[in-house]
Amino acid sequence: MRRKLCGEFEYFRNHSLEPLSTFFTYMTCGYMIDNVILLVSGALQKKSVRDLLGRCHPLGRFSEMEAVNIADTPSDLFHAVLVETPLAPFFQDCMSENTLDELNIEVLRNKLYKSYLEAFYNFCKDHGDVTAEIMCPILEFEADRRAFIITLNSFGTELSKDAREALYPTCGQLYPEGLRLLAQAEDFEQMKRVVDHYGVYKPLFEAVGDGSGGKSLEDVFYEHEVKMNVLAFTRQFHCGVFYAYTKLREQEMRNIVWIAECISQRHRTKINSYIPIP
Amino acid sequence: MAAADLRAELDSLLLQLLWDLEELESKRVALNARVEEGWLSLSKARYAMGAKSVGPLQYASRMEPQVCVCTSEAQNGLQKFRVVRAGAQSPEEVGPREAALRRRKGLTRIPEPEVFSASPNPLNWFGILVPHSLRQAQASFQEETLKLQMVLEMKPQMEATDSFFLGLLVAHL
Repeated sequence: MRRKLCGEFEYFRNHSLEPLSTFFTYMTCGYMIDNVILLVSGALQKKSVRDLLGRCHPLGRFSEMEAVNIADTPSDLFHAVLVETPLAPFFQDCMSENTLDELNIEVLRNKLYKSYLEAFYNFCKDHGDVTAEIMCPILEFEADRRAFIITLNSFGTELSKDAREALYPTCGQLYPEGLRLLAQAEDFEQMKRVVDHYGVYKPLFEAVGDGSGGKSLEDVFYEHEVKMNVLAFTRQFHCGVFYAYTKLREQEMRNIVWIAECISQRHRTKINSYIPIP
Repeated sequence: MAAADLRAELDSLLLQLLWDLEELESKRVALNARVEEGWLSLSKARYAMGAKSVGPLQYASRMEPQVCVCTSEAQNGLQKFRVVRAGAQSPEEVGPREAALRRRKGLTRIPEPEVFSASPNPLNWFGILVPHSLRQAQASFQEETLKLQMVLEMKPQMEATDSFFLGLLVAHL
């Protein structure tokens, strides 16, 4: 399924001109970040480079990938490996960590993604026209989603509130006041009080179920993302359709994998818990 | 009278056996439910984080168990099972197992029970900021080990009751 999607993506990319080709490059940066983190984490766990390279996302491949595992610090990683790649501009805030341990890898991943998302957002905004009208809200939501998920997943971990705040992308609707309040939250109820001030997110948080039977926050966010991506197809002559198409295809693949797992684990009643794509 | 007493004893043993069987079955069902819950939570984590983020590629190359099952023989000859958590040091057992008195010099070394050092949290293999579903999966599997101990303790007891019952039955046929 992924190979088919990558084939389609490469087809679109090979037939694109500027600024669409830069738009496609921005889209692949997200996958490159995932691949770099996979390789660095795998090196920490002493995994074989060949196994790791086989599991990397094809859309995020770059020629210097095989050398990623030799780096011990983010600074080495940048200077030795990534300086010539499209990820180089996103490394400016990531050099402070001295070693690549589990916590610092997580911080590196989120800081890279923050820089990338802000750069992508500025590119779409500067492009203007229908692309900006479609892509800016999508990327604002993505930024806010990341802030919420980072906050929720950081409860009970060694990540401090200040370190958490430094990972929030600043191109969303929550910036600056919402992010400041979110950084101080200590549990899910406090997060809910923050979104009381944001009309877009309040109904999403109210839809989250309590207990194991209901929807999780991630499910609710995926549903909202699907709605926004479907709406991208109602406008014409903009780059956002390619982004929306790729994201909807990924959601489709997640749904298929979920259904397959429910069948193999004999949880047929849970099969319908996937996110339908209208 | 002796026959009546024997029948009464056989009946009570049989009832005890059936009660134990019912309890064992309900504990097994609860154990299986926790295991299934754990695997479903792992699938949910895979849905949230991506299929390649929760898989064998993230497992540590050298894993140390957090929980081990130790076996020993009790005084009545029954096999005893003990679930030992990492970091818990079991006291050296001295007593019925020894064949002779200890000497002051040239002490015969009794092999010490294994000490399991506390291993790092396996949740960190998948990153620091992991979703709730992955934590839930870990909690389900941890609870499963507690229920496992209860199941392991019941089985030898039931087997002993069963053999006593059969022995009594055969002896008086």
